[in-house]
Amino acid sequence: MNQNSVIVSLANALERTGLEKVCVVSDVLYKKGIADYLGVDLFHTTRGRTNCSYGGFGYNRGESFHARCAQKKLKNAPSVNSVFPLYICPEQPFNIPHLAKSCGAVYVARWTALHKAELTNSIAEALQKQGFSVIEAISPGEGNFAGVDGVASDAREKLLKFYYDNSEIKDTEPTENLAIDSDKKIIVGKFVDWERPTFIDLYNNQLRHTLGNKFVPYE
Amino acid sequence: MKANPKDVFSGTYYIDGDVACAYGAAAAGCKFLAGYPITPSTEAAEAFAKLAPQIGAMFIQMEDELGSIVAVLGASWAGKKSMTITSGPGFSLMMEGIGFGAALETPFVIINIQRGGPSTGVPTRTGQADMMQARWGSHGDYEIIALSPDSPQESFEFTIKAFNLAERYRVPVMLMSDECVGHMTEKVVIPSASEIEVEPRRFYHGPKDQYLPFKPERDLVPPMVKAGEGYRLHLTGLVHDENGYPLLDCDIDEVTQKSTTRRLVDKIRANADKIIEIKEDSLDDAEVVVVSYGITSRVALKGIEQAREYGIKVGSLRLVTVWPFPEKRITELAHKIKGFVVPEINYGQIVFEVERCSHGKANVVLVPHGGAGVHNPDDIFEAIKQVAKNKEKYEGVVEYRTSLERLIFG
Repeated sequence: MNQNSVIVSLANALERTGLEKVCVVSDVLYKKGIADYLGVDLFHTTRGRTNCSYGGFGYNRGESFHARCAQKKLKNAPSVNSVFPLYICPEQPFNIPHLAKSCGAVYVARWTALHKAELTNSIAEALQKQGFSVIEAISPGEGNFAGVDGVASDAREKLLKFYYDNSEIKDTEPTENLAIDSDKKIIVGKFVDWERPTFIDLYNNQLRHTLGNKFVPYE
Repeated sequence: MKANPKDVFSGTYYIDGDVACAYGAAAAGCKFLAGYPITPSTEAAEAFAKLAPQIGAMFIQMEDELGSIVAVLGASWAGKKSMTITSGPGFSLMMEGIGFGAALETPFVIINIQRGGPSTGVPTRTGQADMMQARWGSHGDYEIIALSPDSPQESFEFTIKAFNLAERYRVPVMLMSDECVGHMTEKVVIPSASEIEVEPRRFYHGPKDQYLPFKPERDLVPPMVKAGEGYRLHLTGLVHDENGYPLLDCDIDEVTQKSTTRRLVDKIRANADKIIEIKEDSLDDAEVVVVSYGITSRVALKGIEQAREYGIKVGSLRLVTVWPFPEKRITELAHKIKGFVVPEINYGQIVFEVERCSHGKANVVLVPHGGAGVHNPDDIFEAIKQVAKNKEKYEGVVEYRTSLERLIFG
């Protein structure tokens, strides 16, 4: 169970939604054949630059690069963040859901690699919403911590046990309470699910109002 | 192919170079601009933002230039002719994305209205010190194309030219203007659409299951498809094969490495003669040749005129295309003349290309300027005189000490 669990959840979500035009924008996902496997277009960006201009699915790692706000401008763009195990990092982690909500995300959720079914549900729901969504997926890094060649053969099992012991589902918990701290349980769940006009909607409405018949929409 | 009449605002205008770029982009079929305001380029973005909703185009003000450049890449892969507009500090931020775009062979245009630098520099005044950055700014081996207009009319025309080259060679193209040209207001004639040639996107039309996004056709350039049309594109900045699949450790050998990266440079180098455009004047019997570009080429005209009145046989070579550099022509001239004079608003960039291509056959004199202003034409005249009268062979590039520098530094 590692970052691949996010990919499996994405694949299941795509199958469930039946969406045909999906682009995955990722700074970590680049394995040969993955676009064919998922049935998507795959845009493997340079580090952290997952701001692309067509709707799709962003997949980042680390410090929530999506919060750079570009995706607020997209029509349909859920984003998953996969963070590394917190006990190896001395930094205070971001409160990603709170940041995402304040950026204007229409859907915000957090799950661990233990919550595969919930993660799949969230990705499927988010993919069908208008606007940008953020799903924080807490999963171990593939290389050192839970990969086939991990430093400890039982690391994966230990991490899943860690998630089981240290996570708590609290849907609709106010996002300001969601900072991850080493001496508290990781709160998971769906925290934000609402509707708001997209950038394109607002852009078109404003210009149609201002320019009248002269307005030619961007398609 | 002719321009779409809906994209062309034909007429005679009195506008500045920045605004002329926006009209040029519209005429070229640009449908997407992502940018972040920065002096002295903002007027170009503003002008395009005004035109965009009338031509089915989109302007997005991004959070910064990092976001702008990758948004442009995304839009281009979505099938839109795309561009960004910036100046020095923003240009620096875009370097990573430019390399990414070159690696993915993504056609797009960057308009850089250069200002004085380095760093924040002199936002409201001119400079020409980003010329080497345009060529070498991102890491790794790749080639770009760069053009340099010297008037609002050329700003309009060269913007169209930039889009055409970007689409023809699937490469980032840079319009290296400067604050003087950008803020210079002159008459600009926008012809009818039937008089404007535009290069359409080179789309693939074969069977879907046989498409390879990086398999070259003619001119070493592969055709493109739009994202979202079921081709299952795999686009990565990693070294990749014709499928776009990354070449990981087990795949990489000398042959594959050379065949991918090598083509990124070869597709421009092999087509350099078709790409390069220069404007020459009185070179047949010249003993001194002034090599210039952008606003400096207009300032140099006065110095050249003074030199001719003085009796010196001086010619002019203006770089319309700065990159790729016209190596062959410079080498050819170096064998026939006493020397080159290269005025530029920096402390030596293109002058070293001139020296490299001279192969020691002609003297090369730099007339520098630190930026925030243009040369005094008298300095260019004096430098021409120095080269014409000199009988020794210089070692490397010699810097002419301008009147401004003598005034300041003694």
